Amino acid sequence: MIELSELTKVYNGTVKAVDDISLTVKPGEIFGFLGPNGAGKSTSIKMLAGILKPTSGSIKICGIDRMKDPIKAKMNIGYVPDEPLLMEKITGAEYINFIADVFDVPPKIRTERAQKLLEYFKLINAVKDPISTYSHGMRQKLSLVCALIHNPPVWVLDEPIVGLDPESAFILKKMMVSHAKSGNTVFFSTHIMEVAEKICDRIAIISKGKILFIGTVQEIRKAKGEQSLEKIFLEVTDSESEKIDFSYLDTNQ
Amino acid sequence: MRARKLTSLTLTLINEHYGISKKWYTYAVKKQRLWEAALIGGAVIALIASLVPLYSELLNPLMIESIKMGMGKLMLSNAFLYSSIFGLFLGMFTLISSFFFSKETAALIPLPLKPAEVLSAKLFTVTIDQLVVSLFMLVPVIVLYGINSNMQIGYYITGLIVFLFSQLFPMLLVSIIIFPLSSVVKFNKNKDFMIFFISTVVLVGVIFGQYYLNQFAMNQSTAGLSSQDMAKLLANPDMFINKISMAYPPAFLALNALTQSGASSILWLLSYIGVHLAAFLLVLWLAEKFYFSTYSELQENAAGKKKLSDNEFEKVFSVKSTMYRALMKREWRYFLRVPAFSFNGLANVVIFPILLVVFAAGAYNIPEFQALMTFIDQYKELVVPVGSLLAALAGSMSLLPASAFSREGRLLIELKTLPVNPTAVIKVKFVHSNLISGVGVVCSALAVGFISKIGWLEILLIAVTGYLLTIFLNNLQMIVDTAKPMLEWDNPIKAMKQNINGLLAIAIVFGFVFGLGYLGYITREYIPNQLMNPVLMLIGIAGSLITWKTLLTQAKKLFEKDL
Repeated sequence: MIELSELTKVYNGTVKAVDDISLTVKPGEIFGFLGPNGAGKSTSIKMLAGILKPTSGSIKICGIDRMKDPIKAKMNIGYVPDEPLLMEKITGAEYINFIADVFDVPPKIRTERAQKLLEYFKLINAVKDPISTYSHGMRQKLSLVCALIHNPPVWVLDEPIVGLDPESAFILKKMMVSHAKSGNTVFFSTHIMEVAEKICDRIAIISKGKILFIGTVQEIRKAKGEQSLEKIFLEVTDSESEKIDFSYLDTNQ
Repeated sequence: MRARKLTSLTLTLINEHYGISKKWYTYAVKKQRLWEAALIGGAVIALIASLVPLYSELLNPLMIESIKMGMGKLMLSNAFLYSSIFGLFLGMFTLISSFFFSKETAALIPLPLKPAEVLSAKLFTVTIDQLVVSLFMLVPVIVLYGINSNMQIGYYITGLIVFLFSQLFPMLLVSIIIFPLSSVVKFNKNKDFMIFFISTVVLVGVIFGQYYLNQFAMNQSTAGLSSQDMAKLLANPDMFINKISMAYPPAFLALNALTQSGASSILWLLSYIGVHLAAFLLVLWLAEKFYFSTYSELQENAAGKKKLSDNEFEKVFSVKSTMYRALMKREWRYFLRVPAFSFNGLANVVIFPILLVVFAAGAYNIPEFQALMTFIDQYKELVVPVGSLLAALAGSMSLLPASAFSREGRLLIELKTLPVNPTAVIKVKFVHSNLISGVGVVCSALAVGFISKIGWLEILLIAVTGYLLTIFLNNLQMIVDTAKPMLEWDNPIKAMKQNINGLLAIAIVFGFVFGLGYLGYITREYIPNQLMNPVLMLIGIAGSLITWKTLLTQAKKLFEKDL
């Protein structure tokens, strides 16, 4: 369903944010994209979503080339950015309707799906208010509702758990599992190792634009030893944070 | 199917742009800030009420005379031309920020929409905005020409169509320039350059346009033509302004569509619409080619990832500043690094004196200007007080004090969480605003001096008096913004140009300057001319001192408020 091939992104002709990455995410899979800040996760996801143009390489969504047929490729994606991208002066209902119009969702289906999604995420009472009155978490949830209103086969979520309350995070995780079980694909980035460990079928660890590991959590444990995913992550990404003595911060005035 | 998508997109963008749902929610559902709605309504009524006499007393007689002299068509073409030029200048920023820098564009790019669809919807929204220009500059001329020439209903229908299309061509022109330019200039490296470049082009264009027009008028005046010859010349298609109208196809086509009758008028109207359609199709083609790739480039922001050497590190972090200096540095950096603030702030204060000098230089030999100079000579003792008021007007038009806190946007919350004293923040904003205003005051004093040929001492007196009045006016503007800053914006230009506090500031400044001028005029019998400047100085000093206290209280209140 998602096929990245030799994907590279160079910023300003000098900074290689994504360096020749290739991966395939199959139908029915939840794929976690892990990496430290500035590793290239969001850049990769933005290329998937069509916000950034790859410097080289190709992206295929459900067999459709993202560069050759961007509209068709986008029709198959439900994208949630790391920061909610919403128009703020219109109401939640107006925004959902607009997204449903763009994705050609028939009125009956949009009504049913909107009602269910808004109920799950406890937005039903706020839907007639302007988005500018929403809290960050509410905006994040509305962003999720909009991404899922057209029932896309591929979900691309950039740190979707951030900003959600525990109940909403739980619902989203359940939805991700259910979506994959129905033969669809979920591709998401996260910094929360427990989430990755619990729900991902496979993970990729990216650092400095390169994929350092790709496989199941069991496979990485087999290769790196039986320890927490957090420790494995720090080891794979060459982090020296474990060795730092932070007591200095509390002694100096 | 795609037409439905486009309709939904356009309606959503219009709703977002004008905040229709948000306003409805605030005013009708929540019944909050009703004073704001009343204020906007009042300002619109006041504006209309003040413009009606202008149109009926000034424009209508001019139109009647022009028609008598066979120059009615020229009035029409000029109105069309000038409304287009004004629309071009005013709409340029809005269009560019709407295409590339608005928050809603970020929301639209990941959606399955074609670049041409996004562009069409945005173009349509901005053009609606721009129609306000035509409403004030073109519609009255069309209506008055129609009434005074006994035109039939067909003329008014054509006029309506001409009006609806009148701002589209300037916006298409901007698009035609900006899209190919975006492929040549790598805007991701030069984002600020784009704004500075276009702003400079606009500013220089205005100045040269003004100079060129004055030079033309001067040449005509010095040719020693009689008024009849002048009328003939003006009606002649070779005339400068007519040449421009002919060179600007929409003006030429609109003029013929309006002034001819029957099938001929319809054919001209169809040609007028056709020209727009052709330009629109060209823009759509350019958008498909350049729009999303340029937008994508603009998103390419990455940290340099360059490691600092020990020396560089020490250089960066070993400098300690006092709280006041730190706040001052912050204020200046934020101002200089956001072109929407720096360019607007500086341009607003220098544009008036520059235009004054350019006008005087260009019109120096025109008999009317000479007459004006003779008139000034007769009232030389009034030059200093009037010049002081003009300097105050120029100095206080930066709109920086009226957006002192609005420009902070959400950063005000950061400022609130820092252990800084509101008094220090106000002092910094006061100094910053008044330093920028000082540029306008000094330039205006020099401009007045240059035109009226007064001595250096008098120029200095104008600068000092004008500056004292400016400080007072700036304080008033800051009080307005401190009371209710506009903190929610997605584009810095909105903090200055779409801020109701700016509108109030303009009303305060103009009201004060013209009010004082009028007061001076009616009391000229009782107050000796020599006393006028000391009185103005006194008003400036007393006003500044009184408002300073209020300003501090307001600032403290703002920092205690829930934001």
